[in-house]
Amino acid sequence: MIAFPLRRRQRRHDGGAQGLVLEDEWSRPSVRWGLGSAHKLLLLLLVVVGLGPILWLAKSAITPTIDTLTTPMAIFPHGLAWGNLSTAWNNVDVSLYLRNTIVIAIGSWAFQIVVATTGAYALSVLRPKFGNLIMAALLTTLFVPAVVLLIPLYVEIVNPPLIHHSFVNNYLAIWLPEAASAFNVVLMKRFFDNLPREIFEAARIDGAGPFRLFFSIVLPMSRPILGVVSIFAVLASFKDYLWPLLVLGDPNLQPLSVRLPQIAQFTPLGVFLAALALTCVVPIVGFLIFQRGFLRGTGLSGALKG
Amino acid sequence: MAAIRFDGVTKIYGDGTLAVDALDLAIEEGEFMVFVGPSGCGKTTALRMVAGLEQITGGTILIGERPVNHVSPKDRDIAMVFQNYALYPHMTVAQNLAFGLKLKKISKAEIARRVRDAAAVLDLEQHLQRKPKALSGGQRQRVALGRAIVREPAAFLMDEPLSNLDAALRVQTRGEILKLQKRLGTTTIYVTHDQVEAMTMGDRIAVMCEGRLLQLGTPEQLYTRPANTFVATFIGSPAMNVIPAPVLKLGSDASLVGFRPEHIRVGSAQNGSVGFEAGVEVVEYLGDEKLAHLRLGELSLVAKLPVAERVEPGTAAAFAVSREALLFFAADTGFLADPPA
Amino acid sequence: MTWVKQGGLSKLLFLLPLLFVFGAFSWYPIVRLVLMSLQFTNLVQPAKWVGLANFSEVIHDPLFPIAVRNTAEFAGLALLFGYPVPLIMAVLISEVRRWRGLYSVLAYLPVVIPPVVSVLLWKTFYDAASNGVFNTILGWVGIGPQQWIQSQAQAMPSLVLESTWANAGSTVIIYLAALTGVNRELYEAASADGAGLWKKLWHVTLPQLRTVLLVTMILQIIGTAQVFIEPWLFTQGGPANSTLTVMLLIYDYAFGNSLGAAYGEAAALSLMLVAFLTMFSLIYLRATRSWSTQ
Repeated sequence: MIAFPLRRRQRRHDGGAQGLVLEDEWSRPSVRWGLGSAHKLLLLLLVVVGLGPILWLAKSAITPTIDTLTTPMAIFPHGLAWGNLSTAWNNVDVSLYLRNTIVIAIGSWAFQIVVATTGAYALSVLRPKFGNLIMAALLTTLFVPAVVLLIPLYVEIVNPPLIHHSFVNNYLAIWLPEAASAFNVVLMKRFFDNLPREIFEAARIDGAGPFRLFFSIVLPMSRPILGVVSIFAVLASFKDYLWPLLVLGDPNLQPLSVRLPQIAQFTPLGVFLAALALTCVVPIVGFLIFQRGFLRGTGLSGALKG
Repeated sequence: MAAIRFDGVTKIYGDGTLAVDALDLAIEEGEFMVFVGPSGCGKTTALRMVAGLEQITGGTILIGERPVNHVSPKDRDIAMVFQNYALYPHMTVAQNLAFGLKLKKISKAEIARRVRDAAAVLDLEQHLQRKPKALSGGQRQRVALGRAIVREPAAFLMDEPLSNLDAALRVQTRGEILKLQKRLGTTTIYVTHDQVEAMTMGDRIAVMCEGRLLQLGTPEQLYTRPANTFVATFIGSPAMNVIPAPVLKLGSDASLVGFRPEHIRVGSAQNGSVGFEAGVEVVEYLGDEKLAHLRLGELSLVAKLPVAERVEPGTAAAFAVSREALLFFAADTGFLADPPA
Repeated sequence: MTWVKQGGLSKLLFLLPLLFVFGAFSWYPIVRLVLMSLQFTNLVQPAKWVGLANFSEVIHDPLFPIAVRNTAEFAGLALLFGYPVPLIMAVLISEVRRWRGLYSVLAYLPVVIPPVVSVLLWKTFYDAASNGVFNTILGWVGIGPQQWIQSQAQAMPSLVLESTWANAGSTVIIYLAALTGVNRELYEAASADGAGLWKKLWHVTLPQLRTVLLVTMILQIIGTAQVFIEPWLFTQGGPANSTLTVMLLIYDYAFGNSLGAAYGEAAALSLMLVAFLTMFSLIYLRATRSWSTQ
């Protein structure tokens, strides 16, 4: 019983605990026990179901193929096989495909940031005459599911209207269409809309023209939203499959997501799983480092769509 | 230092709203001019037109004899202090102060000197390397002032700079701004909705309402000879009592009579004063004086009385006002009028 | 010249990247899609107009009703598995008093795994041999080995299971964010009125979450209607077309070996998908408007 009042004081300083279960209800043993058990069960579920497959992958990546095939749930019955990783990295060329994936991701990020920031800046701060029309056109594209444009985009890439030179096997074919993300622009514009107009007026009086205002004032003030858009741009790039599959026929240019299914047939399981594991390293590490950005951004996107 | 002149300046917004109506006003060099009025009266719009943040629909604004209608804000040689300070949040105090100067291509040495001097005057020296979010409201306000000072402009334009400060800080900062302005001698236009600020700070005050200038004058002129009932009841707190003249048997329905709360005495009318009976509803004790809320028929009056005066809520008493303190206004236009014959 | 002075040039310059990219890769393709659905395209000769022939081909294709049914099945199952579970999890997580971050991270982790990786991983899990991963686990509780993606009956649910694993996390986070937005005072007032935990959940939490819940549902349906990676990588539409979805059919029309290069049909089916989803969204919004406006 002595522990009880101590815990109570702790809880009051517990930032963010929701209000559904109030302090006095929490003190009722049945609630505490019931909810506590539910939480423990949930945690167990999350670890086993959420983390489980990933841990299995990590384990199997360094387990000899034969062991994975015969006793998949055993833990290193005959020792480790670090060789899987090096084989995957070198012979299966995961290093090359990882580099491609990263190059594509960086390019995607750059193009998306440039388009979203300049476009949102123009629409929010500079306010051109046809701004509302452009916004409306942007919003309608939000309702068009991206995958459905694959066909006309593909035909366009293979045979562009004015240029008549195919862009197949060219990273621009990936970067440019991805930059046409109305979601990014709307997110940025909303952020810019919420910046205090007085600051822009002060800058005007200080003598800042539109370019100076953009680079010296607006962009530095936008770090939070730039972070969120960047994280999602890079993540989406890593996850992209169908479009790169269509436009990048040259294996040397393909990212991991496209290449992995193609080598599944003729790669030993252990090595293949090692390749899969290596592919996950960047997204997972990135997620753990930038957790707050991921989670805040997802929440934001939910609010936006509502 | 420059004089500023409004010549028939009008502002009509895109949706047809008339914000400023043919404003004619001349501000002298080095003067501290206050624009005061209720929200929506056009005072801020007028200020922003001087700054160049609003386009001028009609008329001309001259800064130091130069028409500036088509001159961009940065070339008008003015500096603005915003209500919410508008500090650049990602820059330090020093960078905030220096930003405009850097854009003007002023030499680094000169910038450093001006920043140092301004920081010294405003007591910001320890805060130069901090960012705005680490500062208190009062400190941020001083940085906003500092940003205006370093520009060494021909005029300061201040848009309700004290309204975000708490009451005590407001009184203190009021004095500091005045001292600063006297020291620098820069022409200043100061916009506020608070008539106390206007009265205590302005060399002259422009009372505005619905886009028009109602009266321009010194605080004393506005207080003792208000041009109309609006100015009369706007300036001074508690507000002047304005009632129909017949209530005090002083004229016809065409007249209104006004008298300030401090001019009401307790007691029956003597020679040279007018008397009336009123019920005392509430008495507010302020320490150095009392405010008595009176009821005369259907009218409410306020009297400012010495603490020693005996008035009990719930009683009726006789009150008197000296005839000299009475002001008469035309009932239809609200303009100041001569006493009825 | 006054236009330049008034900043017109800089407005245009800043808009240029957006206008170019959207014009070329968003607006133009939309128009092109409509046109292509009415044309015969083979990338060599100029396109020929064929009216509604493409649509007719698609509708009369025996695979079309199969694809539609499968897609509906996927969307329906995904809704069944993947809609209530994230909500329950989010409500529980929102009441966690310590280490809430841990719960969020664990829930979201599968979402950051690239879909290709998670599908290929689960493909190994679904190995139908008795020493496949899942079959081994089932063996622990005395259940015989299952065929999983090799069985016509089990293939689709298997796909949905993996898809739910990979995507539920982001829904949990969205719900969590919405839950933290619920005004604490509402709970306090309800408690003062005598409401217990379940009543508060029903009368305060759910109504406040109404908009998010409705939006998430429609977005999930729209998203799952476009599913491609799972049927493509797990089963290639099999076994016996039991996992053939609309997107897979579109891909087959355009790039498949058997049909291939039927861009017109692919465009027509794409357009039909968009039209259906748009109509569905409009009906859905109209129907739920009375529920969500409060």
